[in-house]
Amino acid sequence: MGERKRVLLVDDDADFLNAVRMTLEAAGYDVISANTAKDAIALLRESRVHVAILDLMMEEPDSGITVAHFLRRQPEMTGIPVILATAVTEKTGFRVPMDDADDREWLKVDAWVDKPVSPAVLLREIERLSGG
Amino acid sequence: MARRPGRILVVDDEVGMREGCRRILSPEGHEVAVAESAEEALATFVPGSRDLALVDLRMPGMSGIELLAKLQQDDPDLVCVMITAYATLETAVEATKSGAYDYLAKPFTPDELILVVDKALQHRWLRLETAQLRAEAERNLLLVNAEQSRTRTVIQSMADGVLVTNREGSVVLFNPSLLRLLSIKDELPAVGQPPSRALFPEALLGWMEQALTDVEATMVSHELPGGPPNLAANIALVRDESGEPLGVVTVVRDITELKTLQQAMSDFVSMVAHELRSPLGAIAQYLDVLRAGIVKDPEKEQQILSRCRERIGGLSQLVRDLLDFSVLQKRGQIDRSVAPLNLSEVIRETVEFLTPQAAEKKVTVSADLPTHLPLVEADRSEMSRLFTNLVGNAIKYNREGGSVSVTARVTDGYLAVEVLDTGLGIPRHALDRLGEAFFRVKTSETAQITGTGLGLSICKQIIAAHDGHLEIESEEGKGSTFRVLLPRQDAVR
Repeated sequence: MGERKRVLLVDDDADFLNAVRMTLEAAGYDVISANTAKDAIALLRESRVHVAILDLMMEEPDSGITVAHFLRRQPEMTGIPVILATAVTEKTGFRVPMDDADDREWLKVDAWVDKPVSPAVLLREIERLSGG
Repeated sequence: MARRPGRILVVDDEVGMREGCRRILSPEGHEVAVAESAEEALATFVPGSRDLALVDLRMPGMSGIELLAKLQQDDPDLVCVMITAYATLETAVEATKSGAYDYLAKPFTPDELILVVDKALQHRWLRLETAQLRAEAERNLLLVNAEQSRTRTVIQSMADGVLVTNREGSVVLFNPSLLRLLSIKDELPAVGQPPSRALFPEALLGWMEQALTDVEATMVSHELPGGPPNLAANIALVRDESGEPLGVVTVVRDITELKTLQQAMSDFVSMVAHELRSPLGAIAQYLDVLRAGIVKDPEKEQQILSRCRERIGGLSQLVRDLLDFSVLQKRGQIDRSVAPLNLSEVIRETVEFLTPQAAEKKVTVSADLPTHLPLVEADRSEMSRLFTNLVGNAIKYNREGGSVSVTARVTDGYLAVEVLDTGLGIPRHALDRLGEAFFRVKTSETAQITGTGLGLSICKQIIAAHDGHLEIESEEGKGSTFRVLLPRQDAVR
């Protein structure tokens, strides 16, 4: 078994973070987490991560996007896949097509998952985006 | 016209003439008064008291013609008949010129007198009737004028803007509110011309035009683009009795307040949805973890379950807060059962009630209150809710080994109650937003604390309803002081 992959988890709900952390750790991932966009950016500056899972809405409505954009502006981090976890889509019908490369580029996000997220779906997305 | 008795004045210097007339006319049902000179007649005459005057043309002193002029000056509707000694053309002309209705030449027979009197009275009745009709017509005209001016006053003083245009689309009428709402200042709309595109929003003119052509719709409502102020226009087609379009009445209304309320309600609903979603998401995520069988350690499993239980407790609290919130919003001053209240009792009960909760967090709570506190005019249950929230927050956002103390003191006109904690403190940037519905300070330290973000908002509403103030002082990492100022009953004017 090679190097354990590290996942950055960002969500303002401590219990949600804890539950996802358990899922990922059980699957063999190393997890670091933050409650705010600010803390997340601080974590990204000091440790290398393979995948970032961000909540769309934290203390500010688009904090998830803020972190994603920060990631994209750092040359050494541009390759880190970003998964946006959000509860917005169901209610508002706000759905972004992920098939188009331009759309993906504009959003700086590689995948969207609905909250609550099924552990199986989340693990499959991480596998797919981090290249197995 | 029916023959009816009249009130007759006979003025003649000959007693025979006076008494003769009385004897002939009284049996006819007439009421006869007599005077032996023009001077006596004038001295006793009351306008409106006589229907007919029979006046002798030639009398010593004031002549009949002079008397007639004076009588008719006092009572223009009085009918006069001149009695002359000689029936000549000259006297007839003279009598008629002086305003007499008819003349009677002496000597005359009773029948001649009765006939002339009857004719003159008929004339009198006709005059009275004409006068009455004229008065009525004048009164009606007055009413029409009053109605028009009333309508104008109503339209001028309406808060809504009114614009009336005719079938050709030309301006007929507008009121000051219309100009104010549409910010028309320098140039007034020209009556008789189509409303200028420079003064009126294009959308509004389009709807007015459409109202004239679209005969199906009788009234349409639109919201004008732009704002604030947010404006809505009701455009109604007016038809005549045969259904032909006469013109368009446009009423422009300021709906800024309504829009603000709608926005506030929509924001509130989406905040509630968000507040429900977070704990539900966390609980669902924990349950998924348990179902996936990832957790092998029974102790960890217990921890997850108790976190789930706590989040459900938080949801229940949210529902309670929402209900309180809605009650407070609906409640007017009238529904509050306000009475002189000793707060020290309420605060002691609150502290007692919250002590077990504090002990669980290893926080000490104490109340240090003077024996005699001035009374405040307050609703007991709301005061209890207020201090439960404040002391509860001070415990919740505290650390192990920390403390909460409640003190009270008398200030100028107010009773000041302070809830002081040695807790986490509030970041400076969050102080202003504190008390906004659903606003919560989010730091890594508060992440584990369940709360609804409504508690302080409820406190603020309760304090405001009691004409009080809330002051908050806080230093991050050291603690906070929440100071409630309530008007003292002994200081209330």
